[in-house]
Amino acid sequence: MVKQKTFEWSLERGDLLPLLMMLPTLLVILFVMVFPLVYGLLLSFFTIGFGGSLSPDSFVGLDNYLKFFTDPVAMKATLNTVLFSFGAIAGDFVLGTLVSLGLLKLRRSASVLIRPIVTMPLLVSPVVVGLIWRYIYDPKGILYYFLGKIGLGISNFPGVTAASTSLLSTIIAHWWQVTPFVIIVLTAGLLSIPEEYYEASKIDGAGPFRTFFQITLPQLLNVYVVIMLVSGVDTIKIFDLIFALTGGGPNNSSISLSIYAYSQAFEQSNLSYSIAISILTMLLTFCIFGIPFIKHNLSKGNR
Amino acid sequence: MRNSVRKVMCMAMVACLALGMVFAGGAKEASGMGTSKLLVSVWAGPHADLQKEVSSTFTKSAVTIDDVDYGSLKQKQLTSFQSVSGSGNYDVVWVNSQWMKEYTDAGYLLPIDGYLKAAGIDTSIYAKGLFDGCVFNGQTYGLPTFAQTMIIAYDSEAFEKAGLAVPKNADELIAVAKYFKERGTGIALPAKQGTAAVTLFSQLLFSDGGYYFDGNGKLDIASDKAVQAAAIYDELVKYSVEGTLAWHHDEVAEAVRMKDAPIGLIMSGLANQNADPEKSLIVDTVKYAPLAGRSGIAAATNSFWVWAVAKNSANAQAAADYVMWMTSYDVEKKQTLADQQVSAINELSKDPEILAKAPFLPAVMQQLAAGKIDPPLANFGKLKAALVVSLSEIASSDSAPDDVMKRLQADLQGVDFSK
Repeated sequence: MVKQKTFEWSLERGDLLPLLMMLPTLLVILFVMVFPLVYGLLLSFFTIGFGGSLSPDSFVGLDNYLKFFTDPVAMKATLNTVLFSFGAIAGDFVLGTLVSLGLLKLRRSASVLIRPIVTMPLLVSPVVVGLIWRYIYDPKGILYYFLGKIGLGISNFPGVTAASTSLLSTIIAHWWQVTPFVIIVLTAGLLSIPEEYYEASKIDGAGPFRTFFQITLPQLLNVYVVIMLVSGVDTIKIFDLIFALTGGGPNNSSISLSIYAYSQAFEQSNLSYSIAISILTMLLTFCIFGIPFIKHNLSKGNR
Repeated sequence: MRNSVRKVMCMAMVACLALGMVFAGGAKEASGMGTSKLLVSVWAGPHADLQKEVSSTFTKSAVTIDDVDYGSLKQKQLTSFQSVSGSGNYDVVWVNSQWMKEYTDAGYLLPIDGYLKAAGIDTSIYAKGLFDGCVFNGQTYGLPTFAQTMIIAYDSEAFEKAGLAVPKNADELIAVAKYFKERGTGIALPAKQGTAAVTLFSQLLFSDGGYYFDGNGKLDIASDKAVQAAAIYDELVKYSVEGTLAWHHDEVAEAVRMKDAPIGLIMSGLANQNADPEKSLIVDTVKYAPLAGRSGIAAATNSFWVWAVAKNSANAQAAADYVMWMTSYDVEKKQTLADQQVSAINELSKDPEILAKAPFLPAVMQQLAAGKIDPPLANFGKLKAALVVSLSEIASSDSAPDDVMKRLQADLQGVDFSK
């Protein structure tokens, strides 16, 4: 029979020291993450603005949450956020994979030069990325300069000035910024694939596409899952890039949940509804990315 | 691990934790020693550097200016108001007039009537319409400054070449915009989804005698005058320079001074950059005119800033002294001469020295005199947020202005605008 381990309070031979070593981190997590989250959740059951206080009169129960599902702007923001997330991640994966594979095929002297340039956008803050791309999308900017060379103009691709293309324009700016992160992670994954697999596939006469889909992609699956989780959380809470580039317009065509929560809190003083939106955003992130990630890990553990 | 080493490590951990808890509140300055210190929050606009320079000459306190970009300013001020007094929170805040009602309702600002009386300040020197925007429930919560309105800025050289006269009403403005649009440019105006478009719409509405509410205080945003203002806005966007749908105030002002647009609707607070040879190509040719409605009358949506004292300031007297000093005649004149900002002091607009430096002042004062302030109602923010989206829809789609305004009226029918 296995003896159940009990907590040993002894400082010398027991479990107290490890706990004390973790205590500072646990306290930070408690005060910076857990307490604000719990307090925010509490506030979302009331109706208050900044400077307001919790009182029985301001208790509204689940009203803020129910309001979300009947608020057309909230629904629009949810749709935009999900579309942005999927579009951004899909592009990051495709572009990141192509660039990673391309960089590995280059001669060392060339890749040493090109790799830092390609990964540089990762160092730029999202707000600055938004401002850079605002100038790129300006009718006198570099994008329309090159489009003009092939006979296209703002009427062909209105960019951030039309509801039909504003969200796509923000997704493109996001690709520019985040693809370097995908490149870095995928490169590490590609370098860990044993060379023998490729040698064996070459001997068997497999072409580059077959090699990619039968060897490279399955070997990178866990890497893609991690990237998807990190990017997914990042894209669902997107704020600064869209705020700097379009402000959520035109006509709310690029408004995200975070921007809507911000406007409710700081422009309309509707703090509790803003918190409810943020909590629902957190739940959305968990449902879309958290649950599949947990399922993936559980299925890995069962193998 | 040796037991003695573990014991020492454990004791060190506990000591660090304890010290961290003790110093987490931050060190407190010794009080009553030397000059008091003030932390002041301002917008990092084109006048922030001058405000820092002027503040450094204030002898009663050591002033530190924290200039923050407009998008984060209110957020930062709200966070400061929640802080414990003396914990690095703002003593003085530069508040957009549109936030005053919210701040005073929440109890963030200190009434300064007592300080004004003790100092013998005569508040009648300030423009009544602007000073009234600082008074709530019979108490004064700040002093007005930096008034802004939207005015027409144009390149007189381009107008002379085209043989055009300065537009005196909205129809003439549309005609001028159409003329330039047909020749490759157009009018510059803020059509990005945001409050700048609402400022323009409101000015067009007020100029033709309209308002957001009817005589009974009921929402009337689909009235003939409101629909007319929306239609004028729609026409102007149609004849605007390519890219205006992504422009806020700063981009519009830049387009005019870089000659990308021969005419633009700019905030007067940005007009001083037109006279800067390092930033402007129209230094010698820029002229200004009031932005009038169809009737030819120009009435602003009076927008200004307020110097106010934060209720949680640990140096209330020093903060009030600073506020009174910054809005005094001499200091305001100094600032206007330096960068042409418009103060709330009536007499300054008649000063010939100032008129020579700020040629747009007559247009601004004409509009301020006939202008209106946004109503200090709790739910006005909802109307404004909805107008932001409606105007963006009008600007970026083929939706008819009257359909959009009627839909807006219907959507806001259930909102209580009575208090």
